[in-house]
Amino acid sequence: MKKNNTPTASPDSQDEVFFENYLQGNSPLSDLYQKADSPEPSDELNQKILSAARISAEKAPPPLKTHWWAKPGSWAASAVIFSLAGILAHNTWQAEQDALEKDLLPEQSLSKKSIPSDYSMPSESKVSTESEFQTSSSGRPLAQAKKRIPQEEKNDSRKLLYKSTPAPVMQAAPKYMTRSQIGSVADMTETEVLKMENAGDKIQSLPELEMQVDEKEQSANRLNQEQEQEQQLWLKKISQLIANEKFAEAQQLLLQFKIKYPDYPIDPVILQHLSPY
Amino acid sequence: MVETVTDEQLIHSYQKGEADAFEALYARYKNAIYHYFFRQVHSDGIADELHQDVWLNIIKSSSGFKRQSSFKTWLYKIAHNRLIDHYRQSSRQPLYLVQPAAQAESLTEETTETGQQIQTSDKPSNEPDEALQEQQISHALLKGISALPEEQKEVFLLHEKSGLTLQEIALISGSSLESTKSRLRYAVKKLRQHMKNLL
Repeated sequence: MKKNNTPTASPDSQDEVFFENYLQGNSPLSDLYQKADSPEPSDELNQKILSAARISAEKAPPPLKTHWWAKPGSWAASAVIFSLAGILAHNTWQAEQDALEKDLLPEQSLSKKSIPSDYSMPSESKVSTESEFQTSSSGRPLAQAKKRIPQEEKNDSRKLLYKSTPAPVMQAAPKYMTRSQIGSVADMTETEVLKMENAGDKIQSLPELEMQVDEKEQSANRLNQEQEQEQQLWLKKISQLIANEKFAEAQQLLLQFKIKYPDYPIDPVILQHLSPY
Repeated sequence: MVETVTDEQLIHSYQKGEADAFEALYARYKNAIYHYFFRQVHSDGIADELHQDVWLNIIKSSSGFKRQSSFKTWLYKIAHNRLIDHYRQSSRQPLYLVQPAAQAESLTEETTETGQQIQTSDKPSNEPDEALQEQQISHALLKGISALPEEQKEVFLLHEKSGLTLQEIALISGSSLESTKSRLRYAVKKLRQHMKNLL
């Protein structure tokens, strides 16, 4: 039985060809459909929709501005600012830590040993009183350093050490200070100057005192010398009167001499000549 | 000038508050959208309602349009969803099925008669007017489209009137590309069979 191989296209293949042509736009079906009546929305409906669109556009919020963080330049500027802020914060923290260490370390060393009575201050120090002695080496009053401690208590492992070793009190401060210890007035703070003025009657400089002592001693010596010269002169005069046998005048002069210098030792020869016995 | 501007640029301008941009967009798609609804529901009133709902939805949610897809796809996706909602509200029954039977029968008879007239066009004295012929053919085609299953009809209308590609139609209807192509193939085959005396 032979198969019928005649090239007659089946209905399915014809539909497939028609569909392929339709997809390619070569179909009378599309042409017919495009020619068919196409309903359109009424003008009233169009106006209603367009008016709604206009109202919505008027009420619409302003367009969203591009935020500063969405701009590349802002990112760069922000990065620079944050970096600078970080560096500044780190440097500040480091400086505070250094200052705190400077504040604490001398106190630790001082608290462990007693201060000798003849403790001499550093030559460039401005310490003049006990309260000023507690001024830190960095120039800041110790009270300020103590105020800052609570803020750093969380991370400061030296907290207990600091609290357990309070600032040392100077047991024996030198009574007198040299001018080099005091420093120049221009370098002193106003508080220090006031304290110096208040304590002026108690604190004197050594050279001035030494000069006063010298002057007193010199005046005393000078006085003694003058007095001795006067006494010797007086006794010499009495001796001359005795030699001239003017015993009445010599005795009267001796009485005046004894009244003026009762304790002065008189030569026994004079006393022998003038004695009534 | 407006034609050179893309749909996405127009909707972006409308997002900025330019009402004219929306008018341009509406002018581009108003007929296609209305046609899409009208051929599905076969009712001026319902088509008006659906058409208005879709465009008001566009106006309302225009700010939410991201350029992840084309405006055309977005617009027809909204229209497709609105049509499905309409079917659900009307007990899942496409409105073309509730078309008056008398009207459908008259259309069928008319088409049959037209086909006979075309076939018997040998007699010049009975030759109908050319315009009337085209009108009758169009009616026959529209009737064939109306008789298509809902899914096939939608694919055919979107492809034919809106000029969407099969990929876009698949995206709008939420179907695979093969399913969409298969639906269109069946729709064309049935229409060809329906119009075999005219094509």
